Amino acid sequence: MHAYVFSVVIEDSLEALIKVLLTTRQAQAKLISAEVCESGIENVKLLTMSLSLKPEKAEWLKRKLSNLPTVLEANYVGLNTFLKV
Amino acid sequence: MVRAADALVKAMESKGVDVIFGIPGGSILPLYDAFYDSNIRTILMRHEQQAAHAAEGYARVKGRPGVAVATSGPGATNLVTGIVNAMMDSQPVIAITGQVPREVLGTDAFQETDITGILLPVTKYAVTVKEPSKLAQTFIDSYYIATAGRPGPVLIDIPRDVLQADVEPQWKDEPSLIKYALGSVTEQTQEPNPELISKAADILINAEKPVIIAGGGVIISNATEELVRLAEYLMAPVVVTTPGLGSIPSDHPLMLGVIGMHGRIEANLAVIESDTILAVGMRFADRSVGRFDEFQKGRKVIHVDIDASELGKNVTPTISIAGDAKKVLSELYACIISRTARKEARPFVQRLKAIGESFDEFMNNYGEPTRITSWRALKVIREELPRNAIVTTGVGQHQMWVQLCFKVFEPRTLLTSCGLGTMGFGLPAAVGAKAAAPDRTVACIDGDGSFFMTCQSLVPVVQYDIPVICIIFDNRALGMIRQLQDFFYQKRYKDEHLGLSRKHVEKGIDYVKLAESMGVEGAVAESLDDLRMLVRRAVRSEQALVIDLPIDREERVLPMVPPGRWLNQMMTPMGFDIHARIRV
Repeated sequence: MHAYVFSVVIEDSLEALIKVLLTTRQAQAKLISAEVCESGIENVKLLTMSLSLKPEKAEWLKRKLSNLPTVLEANYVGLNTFLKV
Repeated sequence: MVRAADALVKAMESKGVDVIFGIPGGSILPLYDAFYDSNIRTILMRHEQQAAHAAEGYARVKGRPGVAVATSGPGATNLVTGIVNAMMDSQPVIAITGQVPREVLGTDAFQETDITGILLPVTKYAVTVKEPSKLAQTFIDSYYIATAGRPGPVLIDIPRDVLQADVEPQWKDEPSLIKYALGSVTEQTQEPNPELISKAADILINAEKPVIIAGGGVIISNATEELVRLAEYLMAPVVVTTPGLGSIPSDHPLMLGVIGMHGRIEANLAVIESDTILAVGMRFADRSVGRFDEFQKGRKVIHVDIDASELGKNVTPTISIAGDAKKVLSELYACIISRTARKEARPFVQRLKAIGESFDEFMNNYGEPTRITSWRALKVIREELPRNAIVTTGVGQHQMWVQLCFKVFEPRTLLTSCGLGTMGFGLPAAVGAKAAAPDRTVACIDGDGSFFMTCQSLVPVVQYDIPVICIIFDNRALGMIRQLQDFFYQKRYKDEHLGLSRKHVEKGIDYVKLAESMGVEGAVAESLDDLRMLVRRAVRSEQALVIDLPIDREERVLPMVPPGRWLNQMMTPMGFDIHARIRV
């Protein structure tokens, strides 16, 4: 498992946020922390999640999140940290 | 001002919704009241799961969303299996559920349940509409989302007071979600990368044993013409996944059949022998390829899918192309014809076809000539049904027999539950299919286990004059369970028996009486001639008919690749020596 930070720009609704979190669950990710903040655009929020994840699942998760109708953008960076889980 | 429920119905009409499948209940009654003044036909199913399957059957035939309607609480939760089925098979179903009024939400009110929370993980989009003025627009958004890119189900959950509120009847025909309103690149509008197309074309041109795997995405994107044109130019054999059945006619000379756990011998051998695979609109399910590691060994893989998250998920391709199957196949073809002449016939295709034909001959001649085997029965049914007839199935042995030997000539004419494997899918899906195509013959080929799970869908068949033919492959057993207990659990049969008595295993449910109790004629086919005559009569008379076809409970569906094994581990019937035939 490696550490990643995912940034997801989401249309503002609780359902949209939950759907993003549920999708990370499909990737068998372990959620370390999450923060929601204003994006500066009306009705749009920025969700930042720290996850531990199998490296081969990171790109898949980005694509899966990008496909969601309420997600405007999804990106990630790897922290080059190996996590013993 | 109009009632929000009336505005919703107008929005539905504006998108061409002509029929809904559902069951009314207290929370959804304002919507049913609005249907009273609409031309939208309402079909009262007898269980909400069946409403969702019927909506999916409609969607698969029409290629546009089917709509299922249910009330709050148990009505909504009963939809879940049908919605998940649509999600797994990428079908556009719009579920509309009633909800308790906003002021009592969260109080555990009568028939309150968080259906949006329940369905969020298994829908493309799920929303509880809290603003009456947004209801009609939410439907337009949902319609768009259900069909955009890789299709799938959506849920619109509506509190009763939202349906009853007065609103201005205003909505835009375009989706209001920011992603789509901004016109950002979506899966559907995404152009295939020309560089990747060029590289893929080179690989295909230089391949000695190219094989095309066509999945359900080819059917969803209406890409049959493009698929056949490319296959014929490359002289590449085509194999299909279960959802891909119908993407190329079964009698096309390059079609080798379905691959996978219960795949055709020649189709699985084609994948094993291939040096290059072009996989289009498929997701490399474990049932299709067995082992991902073996699949990748010694061959180049070009994977095309509209859903970018499928690329590299299970198999790491040599080339991944995100895009619509129709567009990608068309551009691949254009690129290839500009670089090379049409390929000559490839000897390995003829050799594999000969192996397939020898298996057909073996099965045609299995046992005494008059014995009813599933194989022979399906041959009879195929001969009697029109070429464009729509066939649905349940899940189990009969479904596997259908994919092995029932010829499918046109896209959208075989409707079967693939990803979720939902027993009971067949009959309600047939109701939806017949509602979508009233001028075509619709037949449900079912197992007795599957049929009994949703047999009350016979009632709407009569009530709304939706005549479907239902043929029950009746072995008084959960046949696939019996087969698995036979092969992998040392014949320790447990709870696979569906008859009425353990002592008298042949004594089963009287499906003729059961059908007649719901107003549908029933008959038992005692022989293959009986079966032929009954199917022929039903096709000609355009009347609903339930045919009980007793079959041997000891029949086993073969070939079979044991779960988790590579395709070369095919088990074949006793007497059919696959190794001897490969050597020949």
